[in-house]
Amino acid sequence: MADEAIGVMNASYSYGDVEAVRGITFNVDEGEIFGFLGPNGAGKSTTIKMLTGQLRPREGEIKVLGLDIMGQRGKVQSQIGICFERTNLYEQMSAYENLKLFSDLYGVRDFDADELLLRVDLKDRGKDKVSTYSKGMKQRLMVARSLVNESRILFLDEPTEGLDPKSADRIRNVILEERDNGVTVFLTTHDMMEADKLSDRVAFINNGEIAAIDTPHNLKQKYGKRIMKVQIMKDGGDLEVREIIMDGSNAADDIYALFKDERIVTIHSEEASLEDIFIQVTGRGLSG
Amino acid sequence: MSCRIIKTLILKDLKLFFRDKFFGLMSIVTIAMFIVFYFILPRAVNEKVEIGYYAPYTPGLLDVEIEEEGIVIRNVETEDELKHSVISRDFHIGISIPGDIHEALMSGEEPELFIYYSSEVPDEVKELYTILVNEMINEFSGLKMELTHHEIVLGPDMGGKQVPHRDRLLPVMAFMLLIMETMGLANLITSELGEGRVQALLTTPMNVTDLFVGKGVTGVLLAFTQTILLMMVTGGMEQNTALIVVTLLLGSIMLTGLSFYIASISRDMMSVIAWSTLMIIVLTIPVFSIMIPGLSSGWERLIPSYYVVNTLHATVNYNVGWGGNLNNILALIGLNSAFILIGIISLRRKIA
Repeated sequence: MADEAIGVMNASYSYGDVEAVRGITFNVDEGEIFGFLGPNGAGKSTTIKMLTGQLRPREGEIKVLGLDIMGQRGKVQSQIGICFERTNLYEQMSAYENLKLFSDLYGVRDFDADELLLRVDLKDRGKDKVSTYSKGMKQRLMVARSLVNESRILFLDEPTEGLDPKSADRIRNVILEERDNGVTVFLTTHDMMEADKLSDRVAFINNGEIAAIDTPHNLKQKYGKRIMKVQIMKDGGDLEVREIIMDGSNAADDIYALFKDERIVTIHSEEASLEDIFIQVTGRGLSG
Repeated sequence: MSCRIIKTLILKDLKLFFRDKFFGLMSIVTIAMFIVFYFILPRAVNEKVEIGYYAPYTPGLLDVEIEEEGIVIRNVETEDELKHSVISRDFHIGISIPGDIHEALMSGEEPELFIYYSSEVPDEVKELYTILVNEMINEFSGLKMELTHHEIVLGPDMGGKQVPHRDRLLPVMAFMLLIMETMGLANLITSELGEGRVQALLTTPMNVTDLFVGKGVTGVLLAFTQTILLMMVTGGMEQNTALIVVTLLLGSIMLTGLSFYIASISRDMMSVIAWSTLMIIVLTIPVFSIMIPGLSSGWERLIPSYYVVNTLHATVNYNVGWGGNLNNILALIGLNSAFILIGIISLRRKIA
């Protein structure tokens, strides 16, 4: 069994009277990509801030790499990397200087900025001021910055939001490479497709509470419906689509009857998306 | 607290400060301008009182220059020339003496004189000149009362060595440089806070103490080195060097505390400039008591900058040493603690 990278026990946080996170409990294993999903305002960023020592939980206990985050914040922070939702680079400095600054703060010896810039496709522009970069380039640099200290846990807050497909793909590849190197990735996003593709496990957060937590496969198994969509041609030449619920008790008979009695044009199988399951579990969509 | 982290932070801040087109350029331009301005201004004060007179029937009557007493008296050819010389400030005053003055004085009559002043001469000075003219006429007519004078100067005798305007302005320029750097540092902190960069820094092994020490040292370095440079180039550190260095250091610390406070109440560069302008207006009030000594009424001691400017002025221009400035230095140390404390508390609240 893998060691625990993050352990959260009944953690809560409030902004004044507004409860942003309400008694959440979960754990993240070392070396897994953990998707933390929810709509805007659900409590994702507040959770990440508590996990990285930026906010002190009002209640509960948070352990990161086996250390109490508030009691040993310095030790924890030297072993984690954070990519913020909001771009907060030094725009008057070059990409190289930005990375060098953070490597110096972490005290990294023999730091190789070129290698990191190469990984995020910015080597050619490494000496240019960040203020001349596009949004996608800045975001890739943010991801590179989170890697300077060869962290054991990466916290990525909406790393691909609003990016062009090339930049988003580059970032997804970096995430997978890091996981392959044994790094734990805590990924917040409201892009369910991305979470489905990347995450080993996901948690749904809604109104500050964890609504569900499991692997994407298990969640689909538990909450989703597998459907077969069959397009048939009627006598007059009209097309009709029929749906057969694969997990239903009469599924085999229904399929047999279709093949026997109808002229089938196309057959597609469909499984529930994480978004469908999120809606089913929380009663709300991700855009809201 | 980590020296490595603080050093990294300081180097980064210095780099960013001089890359800021507005504050970086302003710092360089301001110090260059002050130095040029200093050397353009006259290096000595003209202490001579120059008096012109027109006496059509007694030309060359008093065409003398009394060097020791700093009075120069010259004759002009026409009354118009006398008036023009007064207007163009060649003479402080012009006296038109009637042709029959001697006879009138001898016969006991009261002769009529015309004394021309330029428009800005205050009434008190006019009265002094009137007394001076009476004295001159009495001497001329042989009616001078013989008295023995004993001149006793209380305090340092500044006769013949009045403080030139440029040296009077030197502490003022040094203080203005300190204020410029205050604005620059406040802007740097505000932009880092507003754009979430402090948040990024604080998730590295750097802690809040490192942040404050780094910013504080950057602020003091920027302000202190520039004012020291100004003082060195202008020769302002030739006497009481240690005292001047300590005063400038304390002034830099005070204004660094102020820049923390300004950063804590500002949102962007415009609000930094707005708040700084307000602070500058208040802090420069004591400066006027140096530029125009007669304005000093004592209440400017309530303004903390007084202790910086006054110490510099006394030290640079009157060679007053540690003993004479002890109260100012003690006040500065106390005020610095208060400024830094208030700055840190308010900025810490904003970061939190």
